[in-house]
Amino acid sequence: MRTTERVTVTLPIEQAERLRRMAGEGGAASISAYVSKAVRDQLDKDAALDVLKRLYADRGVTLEADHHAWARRLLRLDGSDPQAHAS
Amino acid sequence: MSAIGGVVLDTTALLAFVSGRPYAASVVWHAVDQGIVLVVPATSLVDAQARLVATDLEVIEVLLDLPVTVVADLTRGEARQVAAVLAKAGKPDSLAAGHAAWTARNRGMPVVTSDPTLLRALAADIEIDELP
Repeated sequence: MRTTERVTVTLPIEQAERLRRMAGEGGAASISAYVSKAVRDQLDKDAALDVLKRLYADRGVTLEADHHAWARRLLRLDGSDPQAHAS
Repeated sequence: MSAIGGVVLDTTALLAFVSGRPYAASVVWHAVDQGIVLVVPATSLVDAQARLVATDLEVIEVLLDLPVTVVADLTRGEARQVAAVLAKAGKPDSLAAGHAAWTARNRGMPVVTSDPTLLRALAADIEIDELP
């Protein structure tokens, strides 16, 4: 039974060149594996965020701008100095 | 500066997430969005689960099923090192907090907590981020 499907996608030239470099010497099989992993990771992330979105909605959790800003500082997603907000 | 690799969630942070506290919820949201690891020490998980009712246990399962969540087990060798942390601080009954503190030190990650006092007493050298 077939478990894979050939899909044609269009990428910017710069991305396609980087993809070939990252996939290395393995040719099309390596590129497919690389892209497959990237797609799987993105699908997993989107599914997880969807689960969280529904959980928060069900439990009345509302995230405001200051909650996001605080979490982004904690996770160093804003480029801040780790010691600047350490307790 | 790039994002950190991960954070450790102690018992109080797990309970904060389960109870819907928005700062804890936001940390989990952004960790998933950015692929940052959430480390849950096994003993902190036990400690939190023991304090929750059945419906809340389902919420903690959601956290455990996230692709960025890693449960840090307490192996034979680690048990001895966690025990040393507890003994040095004179707090032999604080297993979950001691495990969280040791995990944070061992992995070089901050601990997210609602109650930093005990963690500071156990390991003054670790980074602690207190939930508002």
